[in-house]
This record gives sequence, C-alpha cells and structure tokens, in this order.
Amino acid sequence: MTSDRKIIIDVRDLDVSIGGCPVLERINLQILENTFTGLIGPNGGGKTTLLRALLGLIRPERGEILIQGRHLGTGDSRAWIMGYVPQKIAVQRGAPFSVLDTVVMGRYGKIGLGGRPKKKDREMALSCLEEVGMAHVARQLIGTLSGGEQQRVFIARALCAEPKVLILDEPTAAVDVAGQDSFYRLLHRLREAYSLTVFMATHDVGVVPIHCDAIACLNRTLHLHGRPEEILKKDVFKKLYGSEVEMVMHGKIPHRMIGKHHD
Amino acid sequence: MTELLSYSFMQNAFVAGVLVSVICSVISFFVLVNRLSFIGVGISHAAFGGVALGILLGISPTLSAVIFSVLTAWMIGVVSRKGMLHEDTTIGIFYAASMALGIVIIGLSSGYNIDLFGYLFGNILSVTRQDLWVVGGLGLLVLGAIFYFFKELLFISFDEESAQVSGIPVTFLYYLLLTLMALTIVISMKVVGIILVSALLVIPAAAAYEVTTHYRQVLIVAVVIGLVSAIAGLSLSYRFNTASGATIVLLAAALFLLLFGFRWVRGNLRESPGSEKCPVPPGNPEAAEEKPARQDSA
Repeated sequence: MTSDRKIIIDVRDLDVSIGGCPVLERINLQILENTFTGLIGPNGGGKTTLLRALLGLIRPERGEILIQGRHLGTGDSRAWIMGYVPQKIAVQRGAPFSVLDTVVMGRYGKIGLGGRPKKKDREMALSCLEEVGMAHVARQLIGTLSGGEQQRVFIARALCAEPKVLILDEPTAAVDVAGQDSFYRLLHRLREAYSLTVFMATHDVGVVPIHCDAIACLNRTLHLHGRPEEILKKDVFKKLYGSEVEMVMHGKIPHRMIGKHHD
Repeated sequence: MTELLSYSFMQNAFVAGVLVSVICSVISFFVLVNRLSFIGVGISHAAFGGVALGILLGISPTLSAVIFSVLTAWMIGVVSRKGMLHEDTTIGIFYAASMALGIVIIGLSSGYNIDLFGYLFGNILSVTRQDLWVVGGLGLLVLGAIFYFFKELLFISFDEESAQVSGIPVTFLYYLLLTLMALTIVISMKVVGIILVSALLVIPAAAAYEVTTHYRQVLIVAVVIGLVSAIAGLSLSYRFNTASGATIVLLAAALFLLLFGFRWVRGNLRESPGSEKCPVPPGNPEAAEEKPARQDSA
C-alpha cells in the first residue's frame, strides 16, 4: 500500500536545541504522500518542536528538511505546500476579526505583500468554511466561538491556502469527546477530498491506531516509525514513556495505556 | 472659530493637531491589538534623550529624536523578542535611563535657551510652517507603510506563527511597526509633548473598541475620536488658556470614559442570564431559545 507512494516530507539528521539544551537529536523521518501520520510521545519529548522545525518557525542546529525534494530553510515560505493548524491560539474574546476575516488570512501568503484579498479569495474562504461546517457563523466574531468551533475555523484557514500537507498540533486538546469523533471524521473527509498528507502531533495514544496509517514515536529521538499495528507493542512504550505501562487491547491494537501498579 | 483661525500660528496649530491625531489614532489601533502600549511609553521617553542629545550636539532636535527613538525602539524589540529580559523590565530600564541621559545632557549644555518645557509637555502654538512639513512628510510615510502592509500587520496581530508559516516576514514587520511608532512619537512631540504622547497611542483605539467590534469600525471610530479630541481640545485650550497637549489628552480620556460608561450601562441593562455575554454550553436547556450570539454588524 505504501511502497509506490512518493516521499513528501524528508527530514535528515535533524538536531534542534532550545536555550542550549538538546530537544531533538538525529531525527530521520520520511513521510509518504497521502498518509496520515500520528506523532506521539511524552510531554516535553519534542513533538511541538519537531512540528515547528518543519514549519520553519525554529532554526535547527543541524540537518535538513526537504519538502517535495525541495530544501526549505528556516523562515522560507511554506505557503505553497503546508497548512498549519496550531494547538490553540489564545484568541481574545473581543478580537476584532470576524470568522471570515480569519479564514481569508489563510490566503494572505498567496496574495503576497501589499496585495489585497479579492472577491475570489473571500469566496474561497467561504467555501472552506462550508467544508468544515462553519459557514453559518462567517460574520460572527472569532472570539465568540467555542474552542472546538475555533479549531474548525483554523482548519478552514489552513485549507484556504490550498496545501498538500496539513500539520496539526494537538488538534483535539480543546475538544470534548463527542467533538473529537466528528473532528476526526471531518479530517478523514478533507484528506480524501483534497488528497492531503496529514501529520498530527497528539498526546492521545488511543486515537492513533484508529485513525492513522503511520505512527512516529518521539522522545528526543525518533524511536519508531511505521504502521501502528506493527509497532504499538509494550516494550516500545516502556522505552518511550520510561515506565511500565499496561495496554488495554482493542483487538490487536492497544487502546489505552495505564501506569502499572506496584503492590 | 473664524477669529481663531485668522492667526497664522493657530492655523499651523490646527493643521498639526489634525495631522497628528489622525496618525496617532491609526497607530493606536495596532498598539491596541499588539499590546504595545508600554513600548510606546518607553519609546517616547527615549525621544527626550534624543532631543537633549540634539541640543548638545547642535543639530536639529527632531532629527536626533528620530534617530535616538528609532534605535531605542529596535533595542527594546531585540531584547524582548529574543527573550533575554521580560519586556516590561527592558522598557522600565530603557525609559528611565534615556530620561536621565536627557536631564544630564540638558544640565551640561547650560545654554538652556531651548524650549525644553515645550518638548516635554508640547507647545502646539510654537509649531512652524517648517514643522508642518516635517509632520506631513513623516506622517505620509507612516500612513503609507501601514496602508501597504495593512493585511500583514492584521495577520501578525492575530496569529504571528501562522503568518510566518505563510511566508509573511514577521520579524521585519515587527520592527517596522516599532519604527512607525517611534516616528509617530517624534512628530507628535510638539503637539502633545513627550510625557503625554503615549496617551494618544492608546486612547483613540481603546475608546473606539468600547463601542465597536470589527477592526474596520475600530479604525474609523478611533480616527474620529482622535480628530474630535484634537480640534475641540485646541479650541478649548485657546479659550481657557490651558496647555494644548494636556487639554487634548484630557478630552480623549473623557471620551474614553464616556464610551466605557456607555458600554457598561448598556451591558448592565441588557444583561440577563444566558444572554449574549455568557455562552451557555450546548445541551443545556437554557441554550435552546435565546442563543443568537453576538453578531458582527459590519
């Protein structure tokens, strides 16, 4: 299933330090086109840092990042290929922007410096809002929406840039259980419709085997990368999370981890 | 009013007041959404050090104030953006230090024939034709830059990281905004003075924000509030022989309080449990009926 696909993201020997402390070491990661990869690992393991390096928000110490075979340095525009859905933007309740305004911002990179959004850009933003089921609040202020609704709006904003790769950082952190389910359904639908490659960091190990077709385990270095059912085994998690963990199995795949009791 | 405008110094004062209030009001919007008001205080006090330095070196105080405050703005920017120090610590040190530098220099250049008080508190009646050209020229530069980069500045104020991913030069624009603030402060110096200029970098947009919700309305109402404060403030200061800068700022602050009170009263009259200000979680029976959340009335 994966052998004939092309590599779209290629990370080679990546080292990243923050304030002199190594956060990522020797990361080698190849992500294939049209896959849905889940990035898991303990808090402080470097998930967000890896995403930020991919997005060009942080300067790596060593190594390189190639996207569609093109070398991308820090600060080089990703507008042509990447859509980014941040973990949680601290949207002030009274931020003076409508939902539509914020989605049109997704077009700004393509419009270029000094240009103005045209009718075409606004129409596109509106159709992206329709795609995520948020068109009915287009004129409402962004700050009046709930966390889950804002998340959908930010997905619309990312889509609006016509990306091939969608990068999400803990997208369901602000979403309740019912919301998560519809969120993942939406994500799968968009993935099909726009043939997106999705790379998502999450702390929720349970969702990865259900929704992702590849998994990467990160704790400073990349421990494993492959198909979920092949690698989600006990010893991997012990290595990754550093403690004995118990798996609640869900058929052949682990569903939940619980710290082991020592009595 | 016609009598007022028959004096050429009053004509200059009104033109300067109108120009400065428009420029300050537009900048105040970006100060508000980017939370830069304390940086404004820092830069304006640095301008005083610049003026003093100009006097000592015998060059134009306006020119030295431009150079000094732009450099200070960049330094505050570098130190706080690189996370070397907290922004408020940085500004607290910079603004006291450049004020102190100014005072020491003024003491050294014993001449003292310069209108120091005018720079500190503004002396709009001393605005010359030449000053108007400086205000007009620099003001055009500031407004032109804001117009050109308008959508990028909006994006950055809302979500800087996503803006950077979209290829928008966020670092350049951050320093550009600080530079524009510094220029605005220098051209406002003669009208309202160094001590009070930071008020005009905050109040117009803050007042507009009390009664509007969308950025276009905030901008327009801010400019109107700035213009009203400047024109009415100048007339009142002439009539009652009060300091022009202080009168303008007091009037702007009064408008802010008025609009703040207006919103507060309106909010309290309209407020009832489950209404627009308190979102009710879905599934809550109260939520079903009176939901319509705050509409943007653009």
